[in-house]
Amino acid sequence: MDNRDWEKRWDDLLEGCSDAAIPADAPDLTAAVLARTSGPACGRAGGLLAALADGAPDLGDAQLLHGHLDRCPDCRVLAATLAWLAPELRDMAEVAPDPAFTADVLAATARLREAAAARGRRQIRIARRLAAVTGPVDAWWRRQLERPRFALEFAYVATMILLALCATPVSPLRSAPQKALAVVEASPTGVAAVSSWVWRALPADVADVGRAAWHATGGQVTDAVGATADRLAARGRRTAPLRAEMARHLGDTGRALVRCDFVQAAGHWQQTRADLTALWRAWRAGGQLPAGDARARA
Amino acid sequence: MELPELLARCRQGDELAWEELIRQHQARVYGIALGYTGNAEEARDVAQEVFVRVWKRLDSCPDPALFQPWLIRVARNACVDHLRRRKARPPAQDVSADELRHLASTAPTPAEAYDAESRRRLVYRALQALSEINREMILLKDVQGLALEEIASMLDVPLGTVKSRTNRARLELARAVMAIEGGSAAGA
Repeated sequence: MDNRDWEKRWDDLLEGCSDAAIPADAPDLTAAVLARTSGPACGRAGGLLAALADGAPDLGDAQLLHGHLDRCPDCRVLAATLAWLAPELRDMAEVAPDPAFTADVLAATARLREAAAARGRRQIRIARRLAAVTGPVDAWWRRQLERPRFALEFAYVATMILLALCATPVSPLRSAPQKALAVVEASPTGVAAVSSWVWRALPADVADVGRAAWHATGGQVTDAVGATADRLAARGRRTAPLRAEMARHLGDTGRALVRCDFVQAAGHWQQTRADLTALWRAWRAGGQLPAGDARARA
Repeated sequence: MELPELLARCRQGDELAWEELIRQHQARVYGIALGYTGNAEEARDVAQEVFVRVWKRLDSCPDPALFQPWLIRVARNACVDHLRRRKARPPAQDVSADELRHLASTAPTPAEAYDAESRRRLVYRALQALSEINREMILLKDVQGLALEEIASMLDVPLGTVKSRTNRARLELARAVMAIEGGSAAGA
């Protein structure tokens, strides 16, 4: 059978299915079929109806919705309610409160303004009181700065405080000098260790850039850093006897102070000062102790 | 006076400018508060609190073009705070006819004013029947007319979620209105 036969049969079939051929009392099977297949389409229609407020649906959806509303009274009521609600909701955007509302808000903010002003006045009063106290202190400090011996006295008092804090057997920070010395001694190694750790922790890109820069300098930076670290370590080793002696004299000073033996404390303090001077000179000289120093010979 | 100048004067402490700013925006703020709380008395307190917050934050107030969304955001946050505090207390009563009587109505005749009041009362009752999230969607989208993007940013939810929730909320509101009307008809 060729296609022409099929087309003829199809035309014949359609001809018999014109509206006139449908009986007037034919039942509407839509609801029954929907109940046995996809279920009612009201959910989809409701979604389209709700979205109508945001814009018209496309032509196909509009036609389908129209067809559904023609046959579904529930959805027609829903559509009418949604259409009624839209302007009602828009009208609710602004609702004038009672006439006293503005005055009440103004009263509330005026109270806040007054409270803020009172806070400001209190702060000014406190500032003035502070100024009354700090003014004389400031004037005293300025007078002291102009005295020739003030620097010496200040250094003496500061040293006493430092000794009291660090150099007596009962000082709260008595272990601090040893720790500080340990840090100084360990610093070149510590710096190298930290640098190495930082280098490993860097992101790959940054590390690549760093490596490129490293190569561009031809290793000069590495050499310079390494040499500096070595020199510092060597100085630290060479001046270790001086530091130990200074720590001993400092401890003696503290202990004498605790015993209230101020004469002996003054003697030990003189030795400590001499040690400090010698340490500074030796450090400046690259860690070389003076030629006549017994510690150098040792 | 234009909003930028008004805001500038408010920042300088001009009480008259502040009063004018309140007058210009009180209806919107009160409308938002009434929508959230469903109670005229509470709405009045919350609206007052909103303006106190605005007064405290005038210096951090954004560009005048963004003032309205900022104000709505402040009002919304104040309402949410209020509702959180109210959680432990019994739910608010519906907006009564007496409470609504003082609300401004543009209806020219008493009969039309009565109709408008009745309609508004019906919508408020239906709004109170919604879940919190759906009520918020209706208030922000359909009442205040915020864009979907603004709501998504305010509530920190995806745009698609706002869209679907808004549609769901509209349907729920329409069904609540129908239920109340059906109940009233049945009662009558």
